Order: sequence, then C-alpha cells, then structure tokens
Amino acid sequence: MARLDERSFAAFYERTKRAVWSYVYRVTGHSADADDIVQEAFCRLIGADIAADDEEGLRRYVFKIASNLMADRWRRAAREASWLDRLRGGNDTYVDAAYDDTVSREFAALAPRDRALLWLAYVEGDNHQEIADALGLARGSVKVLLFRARAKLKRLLTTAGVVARVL
Amino acid sequence: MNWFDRDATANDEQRLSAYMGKLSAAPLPRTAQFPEADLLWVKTQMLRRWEAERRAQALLDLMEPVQIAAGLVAAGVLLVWSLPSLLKVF
Repeated sequence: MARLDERSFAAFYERTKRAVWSYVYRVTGHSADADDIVQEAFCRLIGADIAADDEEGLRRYVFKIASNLMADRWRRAAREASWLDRLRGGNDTYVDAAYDDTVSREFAALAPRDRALLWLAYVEGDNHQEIADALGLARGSVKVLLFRARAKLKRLLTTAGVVARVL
Repeated sequence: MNWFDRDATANDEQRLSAYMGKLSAAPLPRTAQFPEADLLWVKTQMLRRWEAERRAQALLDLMEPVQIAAGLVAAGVLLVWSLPSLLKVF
C-alpha cells in the first residue's frame, strides 16, 4: 500500500481543501476556526495509514478528523464558559458577522450538529453510514437526527420565507 | 438522493436540496486562508521530528534523577566502606 507522498498530498489537498473549509465554516460559523481546523485535519492526514490512491478514504478521513476537531473545540469552549456567560444565554450557535448573510441566516440558527448532518447529507452526498463514521454516531441515530434536523431547517426556511426567496 | 422519505414530500426535499445547493455554492469569505500544501507537509514533518526528539528526551529526563540517586548511594557506600580506614588515619 503506497502511503501519501508530498506530491500526492499536494494534489489531494488542492482538490479537497475548499470543500473541507466550507464544511467546517458552515458548521462552526467562524472563519478563523475553519482555518485552524482545516490545517490541523490535513496535517493529521499526512501521518495517517491510508493508501494514497484511495481518494474516497482520504476524503472521509479528513472530514472525520475535521468533525472530531470541531467537537473538541465545542467541548473545550463549553468547559471554559463561565457561569456568567451561561446566565447571559451564550450558546454555541454564535457565528461570524459575515456568516449571517441572507442565504445562510437560517442555517446558522441550527445547532452545530444539525448543520454538520445536513451538510454531509446534502452537500457531500454522504450516506447514513458515512455520516455516522464522520460524526462518531450510531447509524440508527443518524437517520433520526437527520430527520429532525431537516424538519427544523424546513420550519426555519418556511417561517423566514427563504424558500421562496432562494428558489 | 432522498434522505427523509418518512414523511417528506418530493417538493420539500427538492426545496431543501436547492437551498443547500445555494448555500454550498455561496462564495467563501475573503478571510479564508489556505496555506500552501508544501508548507503543511514541512510543518507536519517538523512536528513529527520534534515529537520524536521530545520522546527521546523524556527518557533522558527520567533517567537524570535515577543517575543522581545512584551517585549518592555510591558515595554513601564508599564513605561507609572507607570509614574505618579514615578513623585510623585521624
């Protein structure tokens, strides 16, 4: 099994970096976090035991690492959040001002896990098993969570009249 | 691909797909930073080397107090062993 060398890594990175960045940015809502997480995910890929010619395996690995890194950040942020922040009602759906444009406002209102589920399902076209692997969930849970996330998004879009605006 | 066929109408699914498509096609913010691939490659190699050095150094650091303790024990043994001779001299 040929491991990634510098050239094959560069080619894969160029093909995938924007997709991974978009995913992380849309889920976290922070471009600075997306920069850090994407960089870290690709650095970890270099040391991974995956065949260089397994494009799909490499892609799944990067998305999985990026998802894990996002989860780590939320856990750390939750630990560090003071009781005062909690009283003020601070939550993890805060996003960059630039993120909150007319198209993404409703998506930003979803919980991060819902955003990740919907992004992987609709944009990346992953199946339930692939989503479960990427997010560290059981396959059965993905079906239910995805169903609920979709219902929430549908409700938000309908309330805001976005469906009519976008289509 | 219909993910939510439990109660989703084809129309809803189409609308959501269109919305997600629009969202994914939205231009990335100008703040997005993509370092060069070779920079990431070099960074990872350096981090690996530092990690290997750190692991090797950790073993040496662990041995340092052991060496000091062994030296002190040896000095003590030498003192006890040579004490009768020293007492004879003084």
